[in-house]
Amino acid sequence: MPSERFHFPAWTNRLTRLLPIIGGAAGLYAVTILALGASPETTDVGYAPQQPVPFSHKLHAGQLKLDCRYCHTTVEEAAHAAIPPTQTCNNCHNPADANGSVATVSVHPNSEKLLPVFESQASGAPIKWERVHDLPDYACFNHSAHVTRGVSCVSCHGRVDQMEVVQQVEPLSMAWCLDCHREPAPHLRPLDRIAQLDWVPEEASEVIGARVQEELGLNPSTNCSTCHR
Amino acid sequence: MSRDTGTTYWRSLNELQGTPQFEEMLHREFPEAASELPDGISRRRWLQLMGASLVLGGVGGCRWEAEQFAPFAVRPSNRTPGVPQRFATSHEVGGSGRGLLVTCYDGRPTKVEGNPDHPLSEGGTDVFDQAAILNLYDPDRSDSVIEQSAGQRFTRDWSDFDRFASRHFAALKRGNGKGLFLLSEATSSPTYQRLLEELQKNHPEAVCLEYESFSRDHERSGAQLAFGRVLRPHYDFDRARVVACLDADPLGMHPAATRHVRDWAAHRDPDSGSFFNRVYSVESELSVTGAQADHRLPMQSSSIRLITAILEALISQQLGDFPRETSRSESGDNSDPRLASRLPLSPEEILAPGQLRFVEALADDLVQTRGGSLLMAGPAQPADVHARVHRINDWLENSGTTVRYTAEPVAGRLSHRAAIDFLSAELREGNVDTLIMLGGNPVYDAPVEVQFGDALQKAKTSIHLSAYRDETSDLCTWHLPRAHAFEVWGDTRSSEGTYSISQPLIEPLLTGRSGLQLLAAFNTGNPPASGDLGKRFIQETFYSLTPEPPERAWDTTLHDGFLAGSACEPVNVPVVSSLQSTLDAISLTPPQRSLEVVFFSGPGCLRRTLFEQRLAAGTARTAQ
Repeated sequence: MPSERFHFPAWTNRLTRLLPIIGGAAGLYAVTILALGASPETTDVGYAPQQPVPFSHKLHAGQLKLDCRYCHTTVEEAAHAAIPPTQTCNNCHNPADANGSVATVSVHPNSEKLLPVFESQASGAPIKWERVHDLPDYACFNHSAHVTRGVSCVSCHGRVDQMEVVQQVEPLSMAWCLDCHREPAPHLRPLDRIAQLDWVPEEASEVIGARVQEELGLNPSTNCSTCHR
Repeated sequence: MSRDTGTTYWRSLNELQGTPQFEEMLHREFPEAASELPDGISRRRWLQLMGASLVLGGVGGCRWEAEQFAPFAVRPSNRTPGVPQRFATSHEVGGSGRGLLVTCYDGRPTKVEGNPDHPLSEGGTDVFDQAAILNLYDPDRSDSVIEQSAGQRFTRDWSDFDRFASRHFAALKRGNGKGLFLLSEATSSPTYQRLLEELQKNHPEAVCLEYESFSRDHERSGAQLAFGRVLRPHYDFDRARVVACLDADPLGMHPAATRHVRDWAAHRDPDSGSFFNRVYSVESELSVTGAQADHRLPMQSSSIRLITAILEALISQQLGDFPRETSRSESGDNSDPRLASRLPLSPEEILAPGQLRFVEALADDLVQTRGGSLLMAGPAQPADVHARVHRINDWLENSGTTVRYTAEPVAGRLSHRAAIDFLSAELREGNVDTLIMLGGNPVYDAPVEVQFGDALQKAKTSIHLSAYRDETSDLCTWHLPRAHAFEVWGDTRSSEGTYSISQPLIEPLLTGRSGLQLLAAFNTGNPPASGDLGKRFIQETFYSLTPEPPERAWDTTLHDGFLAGSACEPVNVPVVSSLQSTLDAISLTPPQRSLEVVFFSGPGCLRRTLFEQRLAAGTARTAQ
């Protein structure tokens, strides 16, 4: 069946004069949305997934002052800062048996929150922790390369010792990495203060950082292949 | 292609026969469907679909998957997540063990290298060792137990088989194992031998056989001829100034090739300060050794026997008076001990001038460097060639220096060829009630005249343990998936006898079991418990081998990958005097100008099918 061809009404011709303005506004909108909306600052910072066990870093690292490396043992020797095995939890937390008695000294043997830990201990199946800080697979980050060269945990992970639930505080974007690689001094500290998240430098951090940089002979690379291997 | 010579050359069998496929190929520029689209789809539709796929392909990247950590409940000691670990282990290729160092990344084996401490490997591997890792993850590996009855196949699991086996083997045991036949691949595993003896004890009338399509049996029977007992020759390239290979490939297809290559290469460096070796190769294929040889003479495989005889004659002439062995013989009737007279024709009549020059130079060189020269024959060569070579090495005082002999661990078995002939005869006569095949694929690779496939179907029950569902599996009552060497416990001996443990590096991916597990289950009547990968059997064997406190020696051996000092002791056995009459009885025919078919295995790219198919080491049968 032949249909009548569609014609735009005449008044639409006036709109063509507005096209440059519409185009400009659309462009501005797109740029703003892309630059701000898709920035890691917007998408990633503040990411705080719910974990299978409501483990409080605020309690363990903050109040009890457990060293970060008590659990994240491999951070100084490997690229990956290992999430501790269930066994590490069991050092302090063991379940009570049916009679309510505990074989070893145990903190909260009857806690319901610790149930996944006790189940994992009994079955040998892993606790599935949610990953908070997730770099893209094409970026190779090495923990040991940083913590043995004066970069503290706090520089990337923030004050974990004050977090009830761990969340991402830094964007972990490439530009953010490069800021530090280009100007490392303000972010460096003596190696014995690496895991001390509440450390306040006695003098200006640039001065201390420069000294550490000098001592350790640090010259961070900004070459692409440093991280994109 | 015809030239004035009148000779017609052809490049494929299809061309020679002028098949229609060849004619079509000749007149097509491209193969079918390469230049035009196949029927049933228009070009426009094709572009639409492809365009849409391309666009949608990008959409897959638009997401950020939440990841999870799954840390161990109890982290194994010495394990740092994300840091690769290396484990010393071993595997077998064609019945000889190889010392390996396997890299595991978070519990997954990813790369195979040679064990640098292993006396045979010293960090070296060959293609089959390297390929073992691909074999482990091969998606075509068999993953299920299959029962075939009344022409139908049923997928079963191990518990079904275990139920069947305990019933079946209890019945067999009551009959003293009458009608039970066991065919295995060549294996050097001491535990396997031990379990086999146990099986034999439980089932006194059972028959255990070994078959390997590419076997080194000629080497064994050659030593039997020359020394009156089965010995295994070992070549020391570290001392060999002149090496002559008669159809042999010691640098390529030899169980000790990695060791040979290192020693050979050490004496190819002009700056090393040591002597510089020279390699002669007379061969029918282009082997790795042939490609590296300083002097190479292409020769029909069937003519190597004659070349050896001529070489022997020339050497005995050069050595002047009677060679040692002949003078010791008391036969008395040797009025003319000159071996040249035993040749059917004089060397000049048999060989072309260039060939003769080559052989004369070789004989010269071997005699000049005697005590440091080395002559070897390939596994494809018949026993008498090997015997002759042993005798020449003895004359040249090479025995004990460049070539050493050790006793074969299992001396009394049937040769592989005799075993498969015997088995198929028994099958045809209906004497086989139950045939167990541990590995191997004889339906595919047994000699064609044996007709093993037909014979196999006469067995009442046939059980085939195999990594793949192959031709043999298809004709058997039971097909059982076989575990990879990296999945189960095992033990091996390398060609010079060094004992190695092979440890599981990952749990069986596809529910397979090893031959050892199967054999142990047949013996005890108890199938392995879940998670039991056969460690106990290996330990029992190991404890009988070492005088040290066993626990400690076990840990050391497991860590090092091999038991130090477990290589076989070399033996010094004189050449028997009856060898001469044996060799006299063999007619030496001059080279024929005819086609020759040679079955061989080698690391060439197109010719590996047979070998890869079985992952078996060795050699070839020669037919004319």
